[in-house]
Amino acid sequence: MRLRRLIHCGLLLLAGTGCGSQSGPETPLFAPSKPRDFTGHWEVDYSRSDNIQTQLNGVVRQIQRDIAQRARNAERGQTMVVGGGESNTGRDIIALAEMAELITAPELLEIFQDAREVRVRRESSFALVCDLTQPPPVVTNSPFGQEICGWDGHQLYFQIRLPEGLLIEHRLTRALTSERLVIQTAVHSPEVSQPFVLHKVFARYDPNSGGFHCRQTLSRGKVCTTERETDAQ
Amino acid sequence: MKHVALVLLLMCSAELWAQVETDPARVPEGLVLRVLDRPVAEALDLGVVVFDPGVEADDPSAHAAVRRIESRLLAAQLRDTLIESNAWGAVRVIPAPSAVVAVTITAAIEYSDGRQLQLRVRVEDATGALWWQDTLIDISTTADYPVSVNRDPFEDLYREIANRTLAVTLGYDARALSALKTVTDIRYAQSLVPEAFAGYLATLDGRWQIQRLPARSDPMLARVERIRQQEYLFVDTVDEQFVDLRSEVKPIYDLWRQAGRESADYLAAYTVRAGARAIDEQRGSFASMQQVYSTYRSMKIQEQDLFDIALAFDQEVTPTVLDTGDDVFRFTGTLASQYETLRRLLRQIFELEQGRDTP
Repeated sequence: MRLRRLIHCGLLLLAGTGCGSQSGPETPLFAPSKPRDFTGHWEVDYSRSDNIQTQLNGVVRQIQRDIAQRARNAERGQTMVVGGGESNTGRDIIALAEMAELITAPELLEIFQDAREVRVRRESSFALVCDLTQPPPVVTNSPFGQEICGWDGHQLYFQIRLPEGLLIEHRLTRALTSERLVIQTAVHSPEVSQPFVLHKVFARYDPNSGGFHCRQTLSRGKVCTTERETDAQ
Repeated sequence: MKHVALVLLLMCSAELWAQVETDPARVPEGLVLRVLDRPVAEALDLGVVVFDPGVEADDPSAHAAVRRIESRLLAAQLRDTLIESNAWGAVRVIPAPSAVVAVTITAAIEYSDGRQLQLRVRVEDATGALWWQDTLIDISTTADYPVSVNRDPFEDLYREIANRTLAVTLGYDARALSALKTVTDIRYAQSLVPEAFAGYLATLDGRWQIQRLPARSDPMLARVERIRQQEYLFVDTVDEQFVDLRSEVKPIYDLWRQAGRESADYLAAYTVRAGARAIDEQRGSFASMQQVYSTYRSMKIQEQDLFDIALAFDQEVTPTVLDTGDDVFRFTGTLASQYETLRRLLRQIFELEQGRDTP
């Protein structure tokens, strides 16, 4: 894994630190103001997206600051609040970063949006789907866990709770005047006091501009055709 | 509730019986399909009604669409198993119960995913006699996946239905089978012209019994037979649509069921590990989180792919074009409404012919 080679030496210093602050997500307000229209094809713009190494360093620095603060408080005799069992080891933080890298891997999006639902199709992954006919938060339970979604202001919010305490949040934002879409992905683990947050910026693109377009299918894998989508309809 | 406890037995021999086993108690339930050398004397025509999906017809959700697709796929799977048993005359999937067949199998889907299939099954004949009814459950194993061509993870359950139904038939002698076919013929004729065939049957203890027989030379019987052939033609035309549906949907449907099975396996293992507190040793590691996420992602991808295709098929109401030789009829609407329209039309045709022949 590429990320393994990027490991920051400082992470090793975090091993066995044993306690931390809470790591759960903030509760969204689910107060829709003026929902944006995300419809269209989007491709990742790496020049504007977060660098995973930079983010990793940021998380490490934040945890180091938290640890130092708690140590100072302890020296002053103040009560030390023990967190929910986070270990904040280097291994756990790297694991979280690797998960964030895996979850944010899709480079292409195709978004359908109408009054009934928003469907964010992601290349080589499952679609994020939110039923807009119900008032937010829209909660979907499955044997695996729980999905929550809804408009939170002008942002579209998705939360996925999975076993092992893995929790994923996606926030989709689009400025009114910009043809760019930002997805903020936060990955939470019970072993790390800070979520690992990555921002990926997407720019609109025309899937037919290359003379062909591709679609991921189950039975035939990636299928590409030179037929224009409008011709097929 | 009868449980088909097949979990540990699914790996057993798939050897088929090539002879009539007259003692049903000697047939292991669901493990092997009883295959006859030839259909039993007076081979009965058998109809498998499209399964009751257990969802509202106007439910627009993807889950409901999948159930409605399943109601056709599973009925077709059962039909194939019954044909393999070589015990019957024509075995057809029919859109709704009809007097056109001697024996009718109806089933409701109570639960269906990649791990478990639960059907409430009822088998009865044209006299109104209930052959058997039960709730059958089959649990798949990991060995059932990936699903091979022409196989099904729950084929044990279909075999169970086929074997039980055959066991009832084998209890009938040739005379009883012949009587059943006659009752079937008259009941079908009654469904077209109730008043003309009213006196031939009477009910006793809820079962139709023959009172007298129409004359073999009765021209009305010949017309009834012609009309029945038209209904068969419609059913066979619809059956071709099932073949198309299966070739399009079955591979994705099988992948979805496999993902469901794998998800269930993962969750069961996870519960055991969590219960044994072993989970803490791996919790938070990349391997454990990746496994959770990959399993979930796989399940969601298969589900969404199936939902897409199920919704597409569900919304696409295939018209049925029936070429009778003299005329071409085009039926539109849902399958059930097409069938109802056809039967109304057949009754009208019969009445017209009747009127023409009447001096």
